[in-house]
Amino acid sequence: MARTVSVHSFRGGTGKSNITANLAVTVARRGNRVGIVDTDIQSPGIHVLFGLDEEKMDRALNDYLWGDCAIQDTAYDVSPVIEAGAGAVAVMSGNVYLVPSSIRAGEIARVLREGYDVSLLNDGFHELIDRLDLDYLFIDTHPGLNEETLLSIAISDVLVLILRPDRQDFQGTAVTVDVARRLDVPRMLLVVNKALQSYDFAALRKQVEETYDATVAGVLPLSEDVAGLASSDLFTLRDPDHPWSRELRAIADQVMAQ
Amino acid sequence: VTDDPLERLRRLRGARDAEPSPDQSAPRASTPSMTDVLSLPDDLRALLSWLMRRGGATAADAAAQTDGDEATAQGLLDRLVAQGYVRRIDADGAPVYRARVGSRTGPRLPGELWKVLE
Repeated sequence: MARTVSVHSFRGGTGKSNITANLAVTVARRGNRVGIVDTDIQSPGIHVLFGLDEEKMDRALNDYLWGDCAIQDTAYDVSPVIEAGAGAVAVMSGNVYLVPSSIRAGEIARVLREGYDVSLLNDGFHELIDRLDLDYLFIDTHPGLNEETLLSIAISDVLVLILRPDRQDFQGTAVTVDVARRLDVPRMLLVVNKALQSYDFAALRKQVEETYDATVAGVLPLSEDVAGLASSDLFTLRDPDHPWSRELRAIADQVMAQ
Repeated sequence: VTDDPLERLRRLRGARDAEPSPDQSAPRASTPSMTDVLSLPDDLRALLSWLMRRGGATAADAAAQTDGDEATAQGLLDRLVAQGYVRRIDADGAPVYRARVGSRTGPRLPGELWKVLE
């Protein structure tokens, strides 16, 4: 049975899309069929990591939500893009399909102006899993808590919550953890991102685990190398031996654990 | 204003459906929101969350999930159907229950602001 993995953070700028994309590709490279849906309709961005731009995208999640097409018609097989982008490093044994949100200003404005029927998202996720025969569906969410993110949290088999070592993130994450527990999410994994390299990572992990009584799947360092890539590629493919990439793979192991 | 009693009844029904239902057991006109889900009693919320993840299930599936008997699971599903959180789909074999949750998002900017932008 397919597994739905929502990647969420209470605040923006935590590296959510970057981590989602790298996790999805790592899971796919282990022989799985993986889908990614960008539900951050107001501020989409994950498509950039897969080399998609406005000219290459003629369909998006928005078209499905407005009843113009089936959700599987909005999915792009980005596996060839990944292989071409990272050269010999990337050998894809699985597939990655991306459902992007539209980056056209008019369509983002239409969402803000007219809203959309959030219940269609749940139907669409299940339809996508069936039609593309997916093993994993990753959902890249909008930060914070609203109707759409609550739904994405509720339907998760695994919820990956990202936070930075920052007091504002700590408070917001507490709210999200509480909501996820009320919605009986089967597995919740915390990921600390952008930790200063001068920190004691083991102590930080212990502190976060004790604060939330939840598993910390990994602590990712604040890395100039990752930032330097500027979302132009997938870092785990570009530099698989980097400490950031190794920790990311450890997080993927826990996402995939039974 | 109309003297047609049927039309008056339709208007009254429309007004009633537009208001939040004071009785949780009464069926609702619109799709329940995720905030409504959070306010459900524990047993209903747990079953509904599971149903949302699974996509659809029979009463027997629900009984296996809740470690209860099928009659108890059926009772919970019937309550969720009555409150509008779940649809019952009759097909060949046992009925399948599907979650129906997630309200329409409203306009995120006031109309006056849009007028300025146009």
